Amino acid sequence: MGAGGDMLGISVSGVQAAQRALGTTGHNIANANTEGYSRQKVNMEARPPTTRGRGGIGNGVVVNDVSRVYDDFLTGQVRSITSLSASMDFNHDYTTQVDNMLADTKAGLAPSMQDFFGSVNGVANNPSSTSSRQVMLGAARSLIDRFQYLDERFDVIRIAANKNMKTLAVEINELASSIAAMNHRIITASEIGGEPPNDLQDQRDQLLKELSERVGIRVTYQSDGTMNVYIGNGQLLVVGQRASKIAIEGTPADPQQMDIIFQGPDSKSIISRFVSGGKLGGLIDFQKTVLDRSQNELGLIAIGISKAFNDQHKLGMDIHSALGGSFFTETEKLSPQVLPNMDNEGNAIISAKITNIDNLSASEYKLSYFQGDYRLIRRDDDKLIGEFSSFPAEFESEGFSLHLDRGAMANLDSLIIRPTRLGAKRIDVKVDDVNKIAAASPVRVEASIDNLGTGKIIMGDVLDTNTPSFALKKGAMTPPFAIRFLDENHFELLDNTGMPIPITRLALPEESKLLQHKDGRELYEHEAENGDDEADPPVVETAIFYDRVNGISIFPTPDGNEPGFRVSLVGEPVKGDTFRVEYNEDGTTDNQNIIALSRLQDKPILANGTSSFSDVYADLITRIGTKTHELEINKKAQKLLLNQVVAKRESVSGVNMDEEAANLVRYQKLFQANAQIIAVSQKMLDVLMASFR
Amino acid sequence: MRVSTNQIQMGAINAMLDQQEGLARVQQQVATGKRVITPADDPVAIAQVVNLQDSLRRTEQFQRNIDNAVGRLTLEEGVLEGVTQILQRVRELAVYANNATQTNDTRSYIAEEITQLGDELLGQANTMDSDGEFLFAGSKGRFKPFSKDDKGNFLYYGDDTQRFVRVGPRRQIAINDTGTEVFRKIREGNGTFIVTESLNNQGSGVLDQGSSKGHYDFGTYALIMDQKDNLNPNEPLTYRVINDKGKEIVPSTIFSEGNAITFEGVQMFILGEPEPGDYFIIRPSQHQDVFTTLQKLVVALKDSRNTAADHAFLHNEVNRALASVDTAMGKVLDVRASIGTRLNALDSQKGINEAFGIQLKELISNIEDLDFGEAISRLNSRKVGLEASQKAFVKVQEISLFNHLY
Repeated sequence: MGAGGDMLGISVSGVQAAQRALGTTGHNIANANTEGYSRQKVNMEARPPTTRGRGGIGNGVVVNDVSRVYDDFLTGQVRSITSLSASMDFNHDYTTQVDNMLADTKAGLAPSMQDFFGSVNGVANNPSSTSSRQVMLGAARSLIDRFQYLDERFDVIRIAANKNMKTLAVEINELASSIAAMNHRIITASEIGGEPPNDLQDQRDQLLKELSERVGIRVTYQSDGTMNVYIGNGQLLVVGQRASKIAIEGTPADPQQMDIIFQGPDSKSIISRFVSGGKLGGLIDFQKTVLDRSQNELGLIAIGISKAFNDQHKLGMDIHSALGGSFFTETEKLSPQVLPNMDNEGNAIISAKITNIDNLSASEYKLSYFQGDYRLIRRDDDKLIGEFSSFPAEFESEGFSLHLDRGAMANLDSLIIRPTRLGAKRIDVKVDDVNKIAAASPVRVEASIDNLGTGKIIMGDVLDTNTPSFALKKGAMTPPFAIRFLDENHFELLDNTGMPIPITRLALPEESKLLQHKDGRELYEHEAENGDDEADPPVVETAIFYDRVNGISIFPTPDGNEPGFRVSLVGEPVKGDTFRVEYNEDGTTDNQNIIALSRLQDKPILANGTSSFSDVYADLITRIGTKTHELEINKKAQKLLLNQVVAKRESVSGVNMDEEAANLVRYQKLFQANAQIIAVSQKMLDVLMASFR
Repeated sequence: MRVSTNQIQMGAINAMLDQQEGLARVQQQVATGKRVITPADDPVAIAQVVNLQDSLRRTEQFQRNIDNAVGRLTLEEGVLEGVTQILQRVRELAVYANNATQTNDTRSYIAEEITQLGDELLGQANTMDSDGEFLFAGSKGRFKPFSKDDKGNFLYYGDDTQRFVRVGPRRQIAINDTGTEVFRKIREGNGTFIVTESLNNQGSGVLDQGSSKGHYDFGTYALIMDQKDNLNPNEPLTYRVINDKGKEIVPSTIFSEGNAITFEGVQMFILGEPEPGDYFIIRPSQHQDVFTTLQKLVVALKDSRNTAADHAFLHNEVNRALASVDTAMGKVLDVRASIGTRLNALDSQKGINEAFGIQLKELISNIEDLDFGEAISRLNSRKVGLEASQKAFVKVQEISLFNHLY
């Protein structure tokens, strides 16, 4: 406009600048509550002066540009902390669900376990009462229901989490393409306007923030004003104006477990292990550290109860005088989950069997094969458990064994073994008739009423009912042993025909030799003749030594015959005294076995004999509780941190209404003053014009 | 520091939200009366509570077991009191029947009464509890334990298994006594050996069951009365003792009425006047059930007695029965004493369990229950805090430069 020092021109530039500034102030006020908005500032500059001689004459003001007040570092911090905070938040939400579910005094496992063992005690009080047996069966079913309910809740949570992962992937893909589109608009806007596209940049920052809320990202700026977004371990989700996608798919190893797959322009890669942060990261962490482990532990408790209870139950006798059967589903039916990788090329069918519950843990394992070599790795800590070359293979320390049912594994084939995952799902009550609860001991001992001595026979533990003693027919024992005293220090075991059972010993024990000399009796049919003590031929005898001071335990017999139970004799029997050990036919109001069952409640059975069922459950609750607590604290800390960073960013970029009000006044004054100058110059012009008139 | 308007508002809102969250928590705590609501509130505490509650439930179960045991033992004690009374009456009648003034008729009346008492006793031994379980059948509680077969033998269908219940973490108490223990394991005679006379005895020798002196070797002996010259009435009566192999243990010794005869751990007395050729058998005491004892007594009382030898035989039978009844009563008293001991033990265990239960409840309460005083004061401070932050919000909202423009 005109030449330098042009008053009108200068004032018009001032008016224009004021207008621009007022506009910007208005824009700031309008966007005061817009999320991610950075306040804008008009940058004014004096126009280049018209140089004349030794000085210059000002030419007014020019609006250089409108810039946003923005700190790149703070925005990045907001983004990354948002990511962490969202991760914790989401993880916490899910973990809390598990936490509340397990510890619920009504829905948790502990109350039904206590009820169940209470009902077992009820049967111990009245072993033949149908009603107390019914209560026990009912309580057993409630316990199973609780196991299955909890297991189902885990499944429901897993399904929800998987679904959520898929939803998140869709959102992430949408955000990625929006960011790519925004990159495009920013380039275009910059090319056309030449001025920085502030609002678009703000919007893109906002999109990035939303993206980071869903998944951890890294961001780099390009010289053309675009931004690249990385996820995982460096996969480019957004490059300039182009976006890639991620997808959630069931893993080949386990369709229930989700993999995050990055679908680049020319390649696919699995990035599950590298994704962290954001809701997606939170979910992955939740599944790995809380969900899978807890479900495995619940299964471990179920397997422990069914195994321990069944084992003891089978040592008992029911109301029809038959040996006890399975009370809960047999452990074989609660078999470990074995999942072959879907990419396997071999046709091997492999199964796993639980071998001992003391060592069984809630861990998961991976079996892989390469050139004749099988390797079993514990996934929790990546520890190599075993290397072997043929099946079956037993892993004593882990409590299970592996069997090749048919087919063969091919190179690089692998499978996942979860010994306890299905425990809580599959456990069930197998006893359907209250009369089949094996409350009684299957063995009865009796001293003959005709005995003259004071000898007492005492029933010990029943250890195994799968011995020949119980084999012949249900409800009878072969032989029903009788014990007959030959003299005060010796007795014979008689079988059911009344014949003494010969005891065969490979070598003569020293003490027996001595005894023989002491009382001079010819107890042994044979004496070593060849004088070579080392090669004593087998000795057959029927008399067994009785210790009158300490009593003795009769079984196993000196030659190792194991009837599967323990019986002891004490006191001072005399010659001719007899004792009987027989099947407890009709002993239906006996409660020895149900007492043994009730003792399982506080018996340390699991974890190498260190933990009872309720201990393991308490551990589970504590672990989840601690995890939730930890997440809660971290979540709060992150939130606080986030608030601080947001406050910092706001303090730089946020709109302050008072400031804007002040600016309004300031720019209005600027406008007014400049307008006054126009008025003055108009007046001056008028004066000039009038002087010509 | 520069503060954005948004920040001021968000800050105020966050402050309010925080206060509300805190208030809601205290409110929940006050409403439930619990300090710990979810495991996350205090994971260690919850694990403790789970374990303590487990112990508490178990202790409560022990208390129920104790109540059950007390019920059963009290019932058994009641039955055994009845048994004692019956046996006492039998004893009185036996002593009475032994009296020389009794006739065959009066003895048969007494026999009649003892028969009835025997039936009553059998009824007591077959007592059932409220669940229809026989008290004295051991583990065969569904089967009537005692009955008499057509040959007059008393049979026992129960077994010797005692039932125990758990009344404490490491304590089991027997809640029954078997028929064998109460009614069958009663030794005849003096408990160690018994002296019986030959049915062919002609004299009026009446036996005292004597006692064991020193070590009795469970041998069987015969004591034979003799007279060197049985035609001479002044020739003294002698006795000798032989064992079951015919070996002489005590050589021929002059008999004197009422003097102790001692050999091989046996000490016995013979009263009255045995005849030469009479003999007595000394053998180890066997178990004889109390019903058989009563039945034998009845049979002895029912037979008519006419000769001196008959009467001697009757007195011997009655004396043996008296000894057995005494042993039986002693046995029942022993069992009752044992029941008393068990009831005492149950009582003291109940006290222990009760104290433990209270202790557990206290522990649980200490861990998870709310200190209401403290909670109410927190509730108030939260309320004040929330009100303050609300007021602050409103006040801050009022302040704006725009209010002062134009």
